[in-house]
Amino acid sequence: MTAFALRRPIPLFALAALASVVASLCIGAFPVGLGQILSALGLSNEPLDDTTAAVLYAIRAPRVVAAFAVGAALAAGGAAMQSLFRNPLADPGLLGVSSGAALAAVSVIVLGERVMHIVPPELRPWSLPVAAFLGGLAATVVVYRIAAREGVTLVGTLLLAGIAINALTSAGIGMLVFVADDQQLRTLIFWTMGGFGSVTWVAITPALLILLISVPTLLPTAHLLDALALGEREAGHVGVDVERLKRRLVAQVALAVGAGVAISGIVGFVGLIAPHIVRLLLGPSHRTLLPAAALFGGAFLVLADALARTMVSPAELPIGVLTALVGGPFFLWLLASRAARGGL
Amino acid sequence: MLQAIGIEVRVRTRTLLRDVSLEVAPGEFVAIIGPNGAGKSTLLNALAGDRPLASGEILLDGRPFGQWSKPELARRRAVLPQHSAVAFDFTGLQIAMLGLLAYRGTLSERQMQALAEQALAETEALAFADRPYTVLSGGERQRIQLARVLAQCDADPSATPFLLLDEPITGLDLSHQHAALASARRRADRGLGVLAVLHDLNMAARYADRVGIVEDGRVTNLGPTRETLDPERLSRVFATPIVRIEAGSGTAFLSPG
Repeated sequence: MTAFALRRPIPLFALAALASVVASLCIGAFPVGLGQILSALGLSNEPLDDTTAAVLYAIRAPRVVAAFAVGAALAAGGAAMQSLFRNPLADPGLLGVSSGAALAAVSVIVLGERVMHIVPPELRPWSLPVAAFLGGLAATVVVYRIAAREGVTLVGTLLLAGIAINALTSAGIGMLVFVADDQQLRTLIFWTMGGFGSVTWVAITPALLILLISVPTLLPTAHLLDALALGEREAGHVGVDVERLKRRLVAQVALAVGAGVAISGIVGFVGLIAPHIVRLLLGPSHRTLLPAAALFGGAFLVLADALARTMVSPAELPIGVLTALVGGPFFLWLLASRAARGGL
Repeated sequence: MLQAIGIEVRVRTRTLLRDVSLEVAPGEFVAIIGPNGAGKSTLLNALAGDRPLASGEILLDGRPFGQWSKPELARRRAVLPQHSAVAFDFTGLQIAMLGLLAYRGTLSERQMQALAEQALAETEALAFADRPYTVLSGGERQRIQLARVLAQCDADPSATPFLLLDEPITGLDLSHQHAALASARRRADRGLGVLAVLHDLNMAARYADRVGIVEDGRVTNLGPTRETLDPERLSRVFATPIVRIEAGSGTAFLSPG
């Protein structure tokens, strides 16, 4: 690492994230040139034909924006959860927060028609992210209640609670498979494997707004999250209102993960990989960890999505499958190295 | 003034402290001694505001704990717990600076770093302060944590906060044991109130103004150090013969007889 990167890492991460976004806008079944992207942004005079403009505005841009937002939310949410549980293994996917959100979202899709008529039409686009938030919130609260005793997290219990919640939610989703019709079934499967294939501006706007509020507002808590590493009691001694901070974190993580799930379904391991790699590069201080992990997670999902839609073109790989391919071995390596150090 | 007035601490059906009253005044060093499991740490935790009280109350400057905000409290008292595990690879300097969290906004980053480094130098921990806490030895970790609470006490030179230390010298070598208690002593001389749970009777004898003996959840004796550390009484409390050996020039040692 150069001294520049160590002292001012965030601009570097932002640059890399921007590069991934531009690359992903160019890549696809319909290739778009860099000059055309610049002229779409009004930064160049290169002529832009209607087809290219349509592909960029209506298809690729919402997809790339959604992938970036979800990746950033999962990574920042993962970092916040890891601080809350004082353990780098805490991941929204592994602990069942994502699947809790997905179960709630899928319930709305399958069962929602029966109650949707009482919801005013203008509020209906919000029903999915709100349900996902509530599902994620319920899962987070259950896991926290079970695994944390007087501020000390029992890691074994934590991961087992995550397994139990994941098992419960897949049972719930399994039940819904039986009552779903064909169209709903397709959506259901999409939700459990994750993807950005059906993203449109209209569909993602409510969730994007939630992410715009819930993710950047984690930043002012950075020093408090650092203090949590000392232990909950010790954090209280140096001036942190720990109970309030915990409530705030649980709500924000559930909002970020819930909104992410509402956009893309379950995409695992981003919340585990991104914060971990950033900690290895830049250290654990949350003032750099939160923004850098968010940028890293966003870029990671943008590139993963570009891969997912080009690898087996014209078909598409579910992005959750791709992230699990990378994240599974990563998680095993993390487990093995922590076990070798004498504990989880 | 930090006061416990008739406090009782219960965990489920077990009573850990009963009817304990104790006060620490600014400028004095109070040592708490007693057998294992007698309730010394519980008493310190209660005075730190970490234990729900079944009855009685804790007052800091005459105000009950519940009326203080967390940042206000952090400016008026610092606590060194017995065991401290730190999650993630924070460096010693980062941990010492966390002691100054309540002063963010009042102090600049540079001032906070200077205060932390000064405290780390005092505990002779500056040499390894840039290493991750998790790779340090037990004694080195203890000196980092001590530096964290010393920095917290020193952040506002006009204030005289209370310093609560739970077995601050356990795990330290002899010279660092003396250095740690001398640091606390200097702060008491500057006007801070110090309360330390200690196991070493000679250390208590040497550094404390007053000594409290905790037995079976009660403070059974509390008074000036020399009077309280009476060999006959100590022999009974610790159920082992203890004698005082005069070493001339006014010093004496307490030793198992």
